[in-house]
Amino acid sequence: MSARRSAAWFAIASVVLVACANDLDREPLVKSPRILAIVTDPPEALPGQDVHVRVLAFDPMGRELHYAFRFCIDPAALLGGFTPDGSNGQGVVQPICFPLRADHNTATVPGALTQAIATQLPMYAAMGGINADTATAVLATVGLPLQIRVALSAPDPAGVDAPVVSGLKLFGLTTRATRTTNPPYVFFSVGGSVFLGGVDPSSFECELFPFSDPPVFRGSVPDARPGHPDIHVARVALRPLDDPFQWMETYPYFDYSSGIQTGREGAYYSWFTTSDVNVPCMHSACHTIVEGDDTTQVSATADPTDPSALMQRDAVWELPSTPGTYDLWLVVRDGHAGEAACHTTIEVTAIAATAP
Amino acid sequence: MTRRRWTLAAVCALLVLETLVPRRADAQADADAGVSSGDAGSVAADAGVDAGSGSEPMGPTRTQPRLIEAPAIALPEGTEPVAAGSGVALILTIAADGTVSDATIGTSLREDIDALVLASAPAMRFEPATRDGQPVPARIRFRYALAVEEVPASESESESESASESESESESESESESESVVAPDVELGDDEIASYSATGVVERPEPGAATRMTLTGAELNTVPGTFGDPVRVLQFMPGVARLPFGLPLLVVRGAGLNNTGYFIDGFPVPNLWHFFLGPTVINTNFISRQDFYPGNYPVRYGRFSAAVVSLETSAPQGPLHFELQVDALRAQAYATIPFDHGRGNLSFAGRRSYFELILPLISQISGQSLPSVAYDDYQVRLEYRFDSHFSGSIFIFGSDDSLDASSAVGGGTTSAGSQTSLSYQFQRAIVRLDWHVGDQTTVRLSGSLGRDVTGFSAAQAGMAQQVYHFENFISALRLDISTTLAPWLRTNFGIDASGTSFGVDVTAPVPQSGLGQYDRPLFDPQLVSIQSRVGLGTPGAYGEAILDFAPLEISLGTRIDLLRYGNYFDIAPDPRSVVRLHVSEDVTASVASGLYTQPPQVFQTISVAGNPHLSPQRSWQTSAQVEANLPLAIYARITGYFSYMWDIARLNLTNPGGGTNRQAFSADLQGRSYGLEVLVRRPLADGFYGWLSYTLSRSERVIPGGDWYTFGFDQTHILNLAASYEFDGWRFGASFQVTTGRPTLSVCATTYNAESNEYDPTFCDRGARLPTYTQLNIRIDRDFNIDNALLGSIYLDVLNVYYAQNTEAVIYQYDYARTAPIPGLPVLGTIGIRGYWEPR
Repeated sequence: MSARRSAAWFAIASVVLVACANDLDREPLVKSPRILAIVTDPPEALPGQDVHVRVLAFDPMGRELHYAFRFCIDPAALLGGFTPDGSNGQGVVQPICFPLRADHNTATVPGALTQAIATQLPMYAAMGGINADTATAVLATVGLPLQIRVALSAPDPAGVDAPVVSGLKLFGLTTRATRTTNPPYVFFSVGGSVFLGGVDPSSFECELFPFSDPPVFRGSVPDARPGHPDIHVARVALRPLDDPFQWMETYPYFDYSSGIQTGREGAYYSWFTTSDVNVPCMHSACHTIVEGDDTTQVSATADPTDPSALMQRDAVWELPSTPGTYDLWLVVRDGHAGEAACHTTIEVTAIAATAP
Repeated sequence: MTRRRWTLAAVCALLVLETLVPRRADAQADADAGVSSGDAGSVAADAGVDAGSGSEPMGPTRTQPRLIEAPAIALPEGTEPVAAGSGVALILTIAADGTVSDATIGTSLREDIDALVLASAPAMRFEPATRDGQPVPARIRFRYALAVEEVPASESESESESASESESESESESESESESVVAPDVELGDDEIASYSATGVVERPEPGAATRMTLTGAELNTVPGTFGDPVRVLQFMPGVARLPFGLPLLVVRGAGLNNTGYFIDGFPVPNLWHFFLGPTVINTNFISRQDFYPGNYPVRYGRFSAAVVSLETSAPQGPLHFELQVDALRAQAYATIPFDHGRGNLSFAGRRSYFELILPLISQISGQSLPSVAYDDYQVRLEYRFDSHFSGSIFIFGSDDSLDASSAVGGGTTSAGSQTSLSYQFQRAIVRLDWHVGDQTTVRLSGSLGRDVTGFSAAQAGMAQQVYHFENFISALRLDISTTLAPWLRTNFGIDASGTSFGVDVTAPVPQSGLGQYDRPLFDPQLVSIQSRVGLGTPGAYGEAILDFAPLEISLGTRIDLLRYGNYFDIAPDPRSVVRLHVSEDVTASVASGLYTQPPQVFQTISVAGNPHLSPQRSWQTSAQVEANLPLAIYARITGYFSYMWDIARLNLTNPGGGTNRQAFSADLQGRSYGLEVLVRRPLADGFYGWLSYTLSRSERVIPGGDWYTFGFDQTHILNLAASYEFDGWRFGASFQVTTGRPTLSVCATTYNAESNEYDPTFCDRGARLPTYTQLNIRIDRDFNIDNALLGSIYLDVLNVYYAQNTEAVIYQYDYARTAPIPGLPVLGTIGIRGYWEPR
């Protein structure tokens, strides 16, 4: 009882006092080398199937990033969970990893490797202390979580390649007849302009949607409030436009008592920029969530008077104080290994102040 | 703006003080009774008689009268018995030779008793008041408190105890009594002014316990940093770690937050204090004694693996009494109504905070969003003494705390959809019957019914609401028997049974992603809904033999609890022993060792997400101690301890047997804690009291197969200093605390988890700590006495006076690349008035 209350007390104290930590960077603001997305295609694969991996990363210093990929199976986490390398989980079997050949920011897990995992599953299960029958059942139903680990490096001031950031992505291996897929594309608007990503599967670049009317974004101040005298407070809506209910899928999972349940994917939109993002958002308020009954999953910045459900999914971008070109990313996750992302640049220019 | 208002308030308060407090001509002064707990007396000067205050060499050259002796009075046979602790107030004129030249009744108790006491007054002898070293006459208000004389068997214990500490504390419940002889338990007048409840830190050897700190004495109401709450003094005791954010719990000797039990009349309660540095959950007027066992506690307590805090209640004896306390944070009222010539007593109390009035103002001024905090409590107690051997009581009490951070999250527009709140409440009803069977045996039968409710909800913007609702129904029964079988053999034994029905209604994030579900983004944790009700039954029994081979005393005891919960059933025998050697009249040495078993928290044993097979936590505690009474009335104690803990439950998602069902808890954590504790105390005398408490300790944990790491609340050095001095009717006090910072985890690497859109840290160094914590608190009290009818004090209590900007914790940036400190307590003060009225 006491521990539970104390935990709650700690949680509240922390939440209350988080507001004091204003000097920490917020997640949407990209100020250092970052991995923004890792896409595996497909997110759930059959044994013997190739799995393609793409990484969306960015270095504000403009250095050339080098990518190193590994494919890993963690026997201790075959039934879920994740054990980072060198973590404090002493006594836990370390993941077994296989290096993958990198082609800049992409790599492929060959089908032979995924087949070998399925074939040798009893051995890995035994290493993780899992019944072979359980592992086989998991493979046939909910899927085994396998890992892609990517390490990015870049030249340091001395010109020596040095680690920058590392990332992890899961994909499922299953013999289940129906497997989930990635979100098909990224479709969103910034101010009055509409962008589409994922048209070219080899590129993370968004395309300005040709039917934008008019394509106002580049070369002008996006959606600054008409007549507002101060560009510093101009805000634009970052708005996903697609209907995620068309592509959200269902999947099976084991509940705590070993019963098979059906889960449903969500749609999680995360925005990242290199500009100031002065909205004092809490973590969740920097993102947009669409899941189930989306009327209950409202962004913090939603306009409660707007009848449009889409409007309720806005995130707000407070425009940078300095005109210039800024990077903007949108990443969509479905909560079950599916991911899609695209990048674009936004040019922000000053406009003359007009009377309110 | 704020400063001006506070200054104005202080000036107004001082003006009120000057108005209410009698001038020096009829001022109050110390009157330490010597055998009493250093109670200060109210000395009103007769015409031409100057009776100032203070007896310290450095103070004014005036001293107050001191009691040297007072005769016992004997009640005629057949008269109504007198309740222990009741008293008659006398107005005495003490001549320059220390004799009583005049005596009148100040507050009557009963006509026959008044007459007896008044008749005994001329036989009282005092050390006279002095001015500039010369004896002078003085008039004082003197309370002749009645204590029923103890039987010889307990006299020796009383004598040994009185050598060092207060005698004003009532222990009548555990002692045999004689009906016809009444001895004076002298309390000088100031006790009526400043002692509202238990008062001093009294260390009294208890056969079955290695270390017992019994907290009594008027000084406890004036300890700086406690807001006048005597039970909060526990936080300054050796072995007690400092907790962040004013957490209303104790971490003792390196054990966990939930390993210290809080008992009221022998039955556990969830917590002793309210939120936000709040007071004790029951009015301290009900507390007749508070015992703190930092380890090796006696066998009559159980089901906690570390320490015990025990509050014993009784109805205050005496006349009709009303009391009110109001300060900047809360108001509380108390009333006691005797009936049937003092055989019975009905008491009420209630308290209500009003942070909701204060915090918005602070929020508006500071620009910071602050949470809404509120607490209240109530108590009703009925006690009746059927005869001198048999009494009964019913005590009903409850407490309610709530904290709502809805408007405090984030601030600005994004907080609109956010809500975080915490509430907990409990109610208890305790029925107690006490028998004194002959001269050698006492029997107590008591039962308790209770309900605990804890609620926590969090609904941040864009996130489904998490709701935790726990509801316990508790029933418990105790039979405690204490008997002396031979001059060298005493026994304590009894039954201690408890049952809990625990209800869970939770919608919360799963500890990790489910099997077949991958990590969802952090801002949308996977929620599961759990409704369950489970039971915990723990019938237990205990027995203890105390072998007294003076100067050696050996206590051998065993407690046996039957643990039944979830799918677990076990019999847990806990053997415990204490060996104490009275090296000399002033020096005692002791060693103790014992096993302590604590069942898991009930919610950990639910079949869904919990672990119904979870083992109870155990600890083996060993300690050695030397205590001594030193010159200048200084008490000193040094204690070394070692505690080994095992089967500690931790959050650990496992698949038992390698299957697909999962359990969220496993009891495989081990711990060890060792340290040295020092307490040096000078109890209240001559207007001064003070103590030094120091703990040097280390507490560690280990996961199977891993390395030992430092426990999260470990603090290598904990030093507490407190002192208070009464000067010319004013009491000035200060306390200072310095502790080593808590351990923090250093992050040496992170991995971006693209599944959950969060960074998984790799902790590589557990040796880092938060900065050293320091805090200075001050308190000023001014007693007042209006016509000997309305008495009380006005006080100012300020925490963290010099605004030490301590760090209570750190918050990490989203990628763990940087941290920011979470600050501790700002300067926090309160000014208040506390007074009581006893109609004549």
